[in-house]
Amino acid sequence: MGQYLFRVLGSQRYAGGVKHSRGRHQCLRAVAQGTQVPKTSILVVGGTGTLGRQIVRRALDEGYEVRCIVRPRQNPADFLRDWGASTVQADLGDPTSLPAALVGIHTVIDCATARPEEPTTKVDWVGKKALIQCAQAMGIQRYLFFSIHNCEQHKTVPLMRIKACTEEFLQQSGVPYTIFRLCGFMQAIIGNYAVPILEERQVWGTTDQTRTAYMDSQDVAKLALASLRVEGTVGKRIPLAGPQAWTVSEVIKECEKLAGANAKVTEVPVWLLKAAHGFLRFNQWGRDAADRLAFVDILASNETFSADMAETYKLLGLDPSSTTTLQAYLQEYYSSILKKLKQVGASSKQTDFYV
Amino acid sequence: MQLHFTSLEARGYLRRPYTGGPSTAIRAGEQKGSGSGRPVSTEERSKGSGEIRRKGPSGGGPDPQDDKSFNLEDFNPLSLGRRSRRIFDDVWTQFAKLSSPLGSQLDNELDSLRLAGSPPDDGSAQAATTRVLVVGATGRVGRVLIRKLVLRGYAVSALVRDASAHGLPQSVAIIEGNVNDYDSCRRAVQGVDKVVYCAGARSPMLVDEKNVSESGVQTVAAAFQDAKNQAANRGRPKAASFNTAKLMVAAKQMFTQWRVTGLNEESEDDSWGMSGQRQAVKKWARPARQRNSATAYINHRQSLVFEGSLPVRNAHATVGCDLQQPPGKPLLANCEGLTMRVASDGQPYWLELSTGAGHTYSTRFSAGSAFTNVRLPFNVFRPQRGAPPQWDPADASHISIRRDARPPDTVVGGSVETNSLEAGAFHLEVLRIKALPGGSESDFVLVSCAAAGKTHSSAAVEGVGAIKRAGEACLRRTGLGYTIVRPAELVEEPGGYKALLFDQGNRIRSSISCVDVADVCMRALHNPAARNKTFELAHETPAPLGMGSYELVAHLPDKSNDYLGPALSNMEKNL
Repeated sequence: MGQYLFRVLGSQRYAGGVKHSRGRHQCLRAVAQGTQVPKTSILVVGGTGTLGRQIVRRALDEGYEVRCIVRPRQNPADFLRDWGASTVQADLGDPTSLPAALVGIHTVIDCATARPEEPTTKVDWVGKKALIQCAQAMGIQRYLFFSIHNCEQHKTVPLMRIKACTEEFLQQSGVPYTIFRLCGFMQAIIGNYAVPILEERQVWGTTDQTRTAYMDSQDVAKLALASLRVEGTVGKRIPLAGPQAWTVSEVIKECEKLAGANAKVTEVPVWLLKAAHGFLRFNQWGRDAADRLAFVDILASNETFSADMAETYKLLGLDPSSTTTLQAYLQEYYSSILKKLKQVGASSKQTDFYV
Repeated sequence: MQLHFTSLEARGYLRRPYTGGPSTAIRAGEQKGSGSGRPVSTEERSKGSGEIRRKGPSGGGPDPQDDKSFNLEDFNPLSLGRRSRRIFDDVWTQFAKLSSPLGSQLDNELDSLRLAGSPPDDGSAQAATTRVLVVGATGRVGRVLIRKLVLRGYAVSALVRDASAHGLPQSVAIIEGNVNDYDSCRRAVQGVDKVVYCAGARSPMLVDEKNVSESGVQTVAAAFQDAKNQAANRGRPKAASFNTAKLMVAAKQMFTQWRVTGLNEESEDDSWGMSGQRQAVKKWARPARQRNSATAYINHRQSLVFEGSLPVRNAHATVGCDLQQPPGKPLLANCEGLTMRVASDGQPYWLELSTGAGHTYSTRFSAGSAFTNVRLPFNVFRPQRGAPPQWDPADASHISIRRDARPPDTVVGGSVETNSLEAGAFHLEVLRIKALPGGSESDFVLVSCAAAGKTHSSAAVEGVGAIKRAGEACLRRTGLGYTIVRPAELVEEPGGYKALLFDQGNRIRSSISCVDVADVCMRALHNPAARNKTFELAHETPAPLGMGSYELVAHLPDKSNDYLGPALSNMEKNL
């Protein structure tokens, strides 16, 4: 805990320092302008995440030179290097590590977010601010940022508030930016509903009527990389929504249909989540945990998370029909997992060990 | 760890997932968050939930769903502690997940399910069992190609000149060596199923170009073939599917059955020229003692020598025999063509195949005085004397080599030759004739270059083009299933979004992204339409100059569509 506090203080001090020491950054800019940066050099921040890894794959496949920021840790993300990306050790929580990672980079794709065990503010706000300042100082020529749909309308949710503020900060920074506003990933459905239903485990649902237009993270990656080719996307905020908006109960029904099993659904009432959230908020030790539950405010609002994508597809020059629907996605998931199951021979496998 | 233990035991009585209220649940999560092993345990748990667990007799621990009734075992504090800890975890992760639509805990599992970006049409269905050798892995095309292959799950080997400076993915097996060194090539092709050759010369010197684009191709292809044949001889199961092992049609003692036929021995021919005057000149030029003659014998090299003299116009001589068909299966069934190792005087000869019905199909070949391999694919055989144009090589029952008397036009020009006693003499030596077995896929993909499209055609560029063509010819002669991609001028830019132009016939004059070339190479590995094809490749240009009269097939590449098959399906094979 002590080390963690020190890190935060250190980073804030550095972030303050960035504002005043202009001379150093003019120097850096001169260096950046002096050498031509190849247009294909990309830095992906958050390359190990759900979206980040799809972006890395797609970018490598389209022939970009991809560099990824990975945290200095014991088991580094080897899969990124196996795919052919290069990695640099840096940490959004430690802004001194960022400038070196940005040398020789034309485009920054920022799809990082705090891990569940990390404090949201430190990574998503302090770290991102430092990254944008760095990008500005070093003359990064393109900055892709992933935000959340309608985040400015939910300022009570910490992550949404941070995303909204970061959008604003990015717009004022002068970096040529493109902001993508996501609704939800289909990949999240697999862990929450598809796997538990197949394993005949307890499924947790909510009683709300919030609708989310889930999108395959591969499609998000495709659209994001398409935007790099289209000059008209600079300075735009682009919504990214799937073809159809779903409630949780509809998703569970679809999964049941495909898995051929009845789900044991435990409906968690929204008020219970709200109560948990409220309780945690008033405890110092529960702040971070409370932040994780903060989405309950959105659930309670019964909002529909979707957007009209016609303009997006037109702008990016892509075909809307090539986007994966949730049905098709789940179908593919179940068919491939059932095939795998047959190969394995349905053996029992205990992997949860709690000592 | 010890701390967890005691605190869990204390809460061991909790049974139902959430009746305990959020406070207990969240304490468990909080404890994990600040405690020792949170990230590790998250990953482990997510891995566990990605796997499919089935209730079975060998099931490990007690299932959380089955604990409706107590027995004595359930009061074991240790197991109670574990169970409750698991329930806490479940509750907490579910709570946290419920509220967030973004992010997934199962990224690694979804990747391993190959849900990630790999529809089966780009060959990735076979990727897991295929090892591809990329020659030229550090080049512009090779670098991207390797990433594309690795992303789709191929096993990849790379032959590089300098193993210390490559920057290749970790999963690539790197072999240091040179394309002109047979031993290093042999090491590189070990266990390899397919080869993609996209190496380029490092300097503009023609010697370098020749080493890489001509003799390099030859060496790698030879090493690949040798390794395959060796593996097939040893009876490795994987190599059994490899069928470039050619079928012997004729060699050594088999030549004893070859007979000279069809020699028209008349020295006078009624069908001589049209004008009497010209005929008179010819008669004067040719001494009366000259007669058509042809013999065939087997020499010290155990090769068939076919020689003689055909001074008379329209005369021809043929040597051949009936094909020795193995019982049950026609010799040339499922074959792609013939390859022969010959040396001759550089004059044209015809190889003829006759069917049982009496139809004859032939194609022309020629060879220099040194022994070379000549490749004669069946689709270049043309029908003779009113035979139906469609034929099946499996029907062939007789093989022969024909020598026609020199056509008069070439004779009239040079009076020296006409007067010479050697006029019409010929000499052909055949070491062996083999049949190339057909196959469905290409074994060897070669990246060459398009001849046209160079804005300034200098002698050096033409020299490079000639060397590349020679390299292509080397590959065709080996009998491996090949795909030769001739890209237009290469540019380094992201690929996958411009329409591609596939063409045969040197008409392309635009540029192409290295990435698209790599994509085509990768798709060609498993696409039957790509086997034994040579084609040019370029980006579609807005206004193709002077190409209006040609129909070019343009397909927009996409990950999810197989553009290569339709684009190549109506292209000529074996060109």
